Amino acid sequence: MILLVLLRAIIGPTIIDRLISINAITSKVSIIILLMAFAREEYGFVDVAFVFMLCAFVGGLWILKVVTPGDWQLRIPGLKGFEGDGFEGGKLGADKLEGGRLKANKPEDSGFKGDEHEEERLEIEDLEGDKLKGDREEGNLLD
Amino acid sequence: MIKIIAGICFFGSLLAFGLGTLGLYRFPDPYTRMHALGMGDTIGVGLVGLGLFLLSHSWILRIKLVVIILLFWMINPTMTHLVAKAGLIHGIQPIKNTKLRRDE
Repeated sequence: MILLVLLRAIIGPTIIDRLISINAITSKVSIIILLMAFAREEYGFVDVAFVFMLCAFVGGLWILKVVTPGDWQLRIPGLKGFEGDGFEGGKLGADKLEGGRLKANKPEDSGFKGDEHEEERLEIEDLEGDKLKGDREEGNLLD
Repeated sequence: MIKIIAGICFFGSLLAFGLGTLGLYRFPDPYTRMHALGMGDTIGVGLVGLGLFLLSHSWILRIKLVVIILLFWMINPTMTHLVAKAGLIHGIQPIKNTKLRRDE
């Protein structure tokens, strides 16, 4: 049965088939570890199954994090996200996401224009920091 | 007697896993496949846990089994939901004549 699910993971036409197949494989492997622990009467393997299940969950979450476009996508410079797939139509209710998650693509576009302003902001912050230092050195030490 | 009941539970879990895998092959759509696999895994893990709960002979082992089952029943639907949401964001189309609920 694991081999059948693995075959679906190999031939799966979309990415979510593969993800859910990997999830099912890990759950089945966890169950097999449990059964082997009871069959061989080595009950320490129950903890092994528990930790294996938790690690599989965290691994699946990380894969979803990398794959899903949004605020938490990895910022790779050559990779422009997945906006060519299904975003332009908004057929699936994905247009609601433009306010929240999909803003992540916009700062990369306006990144080059904002460099000068960033330098100015840095200078202003330095001036303010000097003023604060001056205040501290001059007057407020007695307080 | 307890062993017979545990055997019935194991057989039911095998049936549930088999039906989940069959659904993984027979359904036409990634979302329906995901649904079948999630249901089969959840029921199968619950039945295996019930059988091992009946077979175990110390309380610490039973507590560990109950914790594993409850955690799995929280983890697996969460994972299925997140994968389905990622699929919708990617723009993977469901099968025709699907009514998607739109959040107003």
